[in-house]
Amino acid sequence: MNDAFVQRLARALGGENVVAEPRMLEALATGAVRPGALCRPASTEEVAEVVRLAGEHGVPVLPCGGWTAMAYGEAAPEGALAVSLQRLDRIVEYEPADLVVTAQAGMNFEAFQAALFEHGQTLPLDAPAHATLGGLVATDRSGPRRLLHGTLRDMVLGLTVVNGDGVVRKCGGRVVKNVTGYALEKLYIGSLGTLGIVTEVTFKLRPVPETASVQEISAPSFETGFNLMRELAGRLPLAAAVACFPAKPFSGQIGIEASPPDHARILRELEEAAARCGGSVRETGATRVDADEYPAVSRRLDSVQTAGGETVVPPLAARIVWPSKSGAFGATMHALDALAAEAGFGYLMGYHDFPGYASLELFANGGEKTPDLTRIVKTLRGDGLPATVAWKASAQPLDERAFGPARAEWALMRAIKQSLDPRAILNPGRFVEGL
Amino acid sequence: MSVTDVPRREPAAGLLDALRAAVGPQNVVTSHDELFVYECDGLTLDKSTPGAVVYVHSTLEVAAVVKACAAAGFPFVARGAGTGLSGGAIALGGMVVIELARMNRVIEIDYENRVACVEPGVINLNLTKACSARGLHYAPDPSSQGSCTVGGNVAENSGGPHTLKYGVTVNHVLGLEVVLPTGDIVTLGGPLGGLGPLPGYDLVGLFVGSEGTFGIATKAWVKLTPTPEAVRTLLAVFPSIEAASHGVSTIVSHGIVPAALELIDKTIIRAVEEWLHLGFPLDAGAVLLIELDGLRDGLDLLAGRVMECCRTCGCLDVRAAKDDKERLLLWKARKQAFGAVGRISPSYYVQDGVIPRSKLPEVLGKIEASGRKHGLTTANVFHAGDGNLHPLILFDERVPEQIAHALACNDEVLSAVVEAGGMLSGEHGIGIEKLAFMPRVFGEADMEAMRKVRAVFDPQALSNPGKAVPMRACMEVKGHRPPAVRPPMRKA
Ligand SMILES: Cc1cc2nc3c(=O)[nH]c(=O)nc-3n(C[C@H](O)[C@H](O)[C@H](O)COP(=O)(O)OP(=O)(O)OC[C@H]3O[C@@H](n4cnc5c(N)ncnc54)[C@H](O)[C@@H]3O)c2cc1C
Ligand SMILES: Cc1cc2nc3c(=O)[nH]c(=O)nc-3n(C[C@H](O)[C@H](O)[C@H](O)COP(=O)(O)OP(=O)(O)OC[C@H]3O[C@@H](n4cnc5c(N)ncnc54)[C@H](O)[C@@H]3O)c2cc1C
Repeated sequence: MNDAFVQRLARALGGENVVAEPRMLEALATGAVRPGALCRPASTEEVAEVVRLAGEHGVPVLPCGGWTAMAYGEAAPEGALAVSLQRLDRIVEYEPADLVVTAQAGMNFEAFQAALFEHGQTLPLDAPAHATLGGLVATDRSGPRRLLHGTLRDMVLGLTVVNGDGVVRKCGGRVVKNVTGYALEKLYIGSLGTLGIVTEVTFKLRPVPETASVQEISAPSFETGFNLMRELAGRLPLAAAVACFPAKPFSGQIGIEASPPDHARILRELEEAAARCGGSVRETGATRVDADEYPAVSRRLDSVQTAGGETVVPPLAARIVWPSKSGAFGATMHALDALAAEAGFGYLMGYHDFPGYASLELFANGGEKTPDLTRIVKTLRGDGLPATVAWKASAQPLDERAFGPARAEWALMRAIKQSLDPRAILNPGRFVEGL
Repeated sequence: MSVTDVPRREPAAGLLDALRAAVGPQNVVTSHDELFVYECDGLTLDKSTPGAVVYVHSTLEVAAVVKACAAAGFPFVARGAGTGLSGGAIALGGMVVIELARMNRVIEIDYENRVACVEPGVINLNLTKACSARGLHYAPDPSSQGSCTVGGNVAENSGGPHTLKYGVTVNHVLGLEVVLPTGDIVTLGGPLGGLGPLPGYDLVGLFVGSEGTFGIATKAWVKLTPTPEAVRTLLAVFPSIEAASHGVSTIVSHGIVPAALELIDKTIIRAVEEWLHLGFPLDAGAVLLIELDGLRDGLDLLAGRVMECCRTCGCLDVRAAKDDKERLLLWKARKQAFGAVGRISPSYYVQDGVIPRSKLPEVLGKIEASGRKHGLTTANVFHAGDGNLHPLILFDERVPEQIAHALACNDEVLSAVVEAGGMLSGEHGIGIEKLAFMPRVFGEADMEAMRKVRAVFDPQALSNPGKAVPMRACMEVKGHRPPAVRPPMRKA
């Protein structure tokens, strides 16, 4: 890394907040990331100063939070300046009576949730403890409870960002409903840090449900179990409905968040419906929760994706999505199963969003090999499912246009990138289609 | 900026010929008598006659019309039902109006996945009617839902009473087909959009609420919502508006999210009663209309809690609608409120600011005080659960000093909203009406980014120019006179 640049950074942030020692950087390097230097600004203004300096010196910038999702997307640029937000870790404004909170982007998810739980409130996402709020916004990988709560896009009210030109900008607001000006905040959600560095986020919150539980459903065959889940999610307000795979013959997990009478009713219906098709229901997570226990239930739902393994969550390899039309899925699962056996990799799949659109989450489950995305997408498409890859880890090769056919949208996206990051210094090439 | 500031241009004969070639001569209106119908939207005091109105029937026709305008460098504006309240559909400077009401087909309903694909001219309520037999509905329910279009809702990111629980338009739009201001057709998102991240930036979320300035939506994929199995509708009567607004804050702070939570104050109650005779308590300071829905098992418990919240805030009486008929009467009162005000005041300003819900008592107090100071009546009927105010400032345009007072009062109300940490508009949009106030909530750099993004979609600034975001860097216009509403008289 250019010495003059490092010195200017050190003058701006204090020497202790700039790391350029190759040996220390080596410790940070992962398969996907090899930064040339790391700095730790302490405020939005300092972030802006860093971006301006990087712009002047033509150094690419890699915003970073908890490093839990660095394997997502394409590889980060070599020799970039990693800008850690971890010193921006405070709640800025929290009025529990409004169910609205503004916090700095480097705050980690666990500490943030703990502050909310004190007031019986929560941000209903299933994220790792060390993920930061800015990282959540940048990756927008919602978990199984999006069935009830929607995705991050439905929860973010406003943002403060530093764009590629080093200018601090606000978008959205701090109220739960707002159409004042364009909704630029939407652009940053899921943009993987390619348009701006998020420094503050305002979220709309939810009360912690009075009763929450996770129920495991077994059924005599995959098809029976799958149709059962679809039917249940079609008529009951479930928090999550996930079919785990491979699971012989069928294992599904259902999340319930409701008032005690509603909870009892839903459970009764689950039991009746399961019994009718020769299956059963078993509770795997607490029913009556207070704020202390709620995180445990929410983690249990997250671990749904790991078919019961609670602590170790393998890295996500990819997420594939398609519209779930009746019938087609069972056959596809068998085809994928054969594919997995032949390729010899361990993998796991969560299939949720009953009854709407389907997503398949592939994990490199400790096996030697990782799923061959190209073949999986081809298999699904061969079965007539217009599958598309929504997420993939950078290590995953993909030779087809698995992101779907070329879309005219890309031209607009490139122009947006150009207008908010004119020097293309924010995470260049890390997002889809070279964005 | 006022309407008259925009220099008027007339479409050249060549452009009119191109429009006729695009859609057929019978679908291009140029006679003054017919154009007159299109000179304003729901914001009736500001008017501008369009250069031409074009009726379109398909995406390809929209694209052809837009291409003709783009080739001539002539601005155009999409129009749905023209019920907008911020002047969004007004043809500033004589723009070409592209009227989408004829594109009113529900193209497909996928019941299993709960997604509908519709043309933009479909009337909001008709979409619900099309799927209600299968236990579904389209959740965003503006009070104007019997006439406004899905395309207009998308452009304004409209809300409604039930969007408190179910989310506003953007939370229900999965994908859009758009004719860009260049005439190119793109698909943003798609029926898969609801899954969260599709690869790429969220252009659907960006487009929704862009007030027709990013192009014309010609198709929308929207979510359908299961109709709840049970509903309880409560009417809580309070001695004063302060007490009622405390009731709202208390319900919200208890973590209760009703399906709808509306506040109606005494001025509105009287106006509605005089007109419709629904049996509302005339001596109330304000009422809350509260709707709870979901599984029937938990509803009584929830209703009990809500009633308790109301009682602790000094509520005089709270009762549940005993049947569907009574429930519909309560909602009728709410949905006809603006119309009722038209009977008691020749004109009014209606604001649409949103504030944190805990600030409701404080801000409503300031609104009332400001009205009193200026000798004007203020009235409130609004989506209280969201903190989305609709203060109405009643005045008579024929009395010059009243205009001055109404303007001052309007300004003070706006200041109260901004000071409380609020925003200018919760659902009606900026349009031309609130344009001059944008600098109160956004800095120049924030608006610069908005302009840049707009230029990505519309480099020539031809699609509804002069709306939503100030076109040039500007200071707030002093002495700006926002247009007011003169509601059309309607039969009950
Ligand atoms: C095991 C596991 C399970 C998960 N399950 C869920 C789940 O169920 N639900 C869910 O929502 N998510 C889930 N996630 C994803 C999780 O949301 C992300 O890992 C996390 O949000 C990333 O945060 P981070 O701070 O670690 O980001 P990092 O890994 O540090 O960064 C990730 C990307 O975001 C960019 N970035 C980081 N911070 C910023 C910023 N402030 N501004 C701009 N760009 C920034 C980086 O440049 C990088 O490209 C899961 C992740 C893992 C590893
Ligand atoms: C009595 C009354 C009550 C109301 N209640 C509510 C309420 O509860 N909540 C609420 O949110 N609003 C409410 N409104 C405001 C209004 O009904 C909404 O803004 C509605 O969405 C406008 O729809 P429209 O079809 O009438 O659009 P128009 O008024 O025709 O157009 C509105 C804007 O959208 C643009 N536009 C229209 N169609 C398209 C398209 N296909 N593509 C791109 N741009 C387009 C126009 O250019 C214009 O800028 C109310 C209005 C009235 C008169």
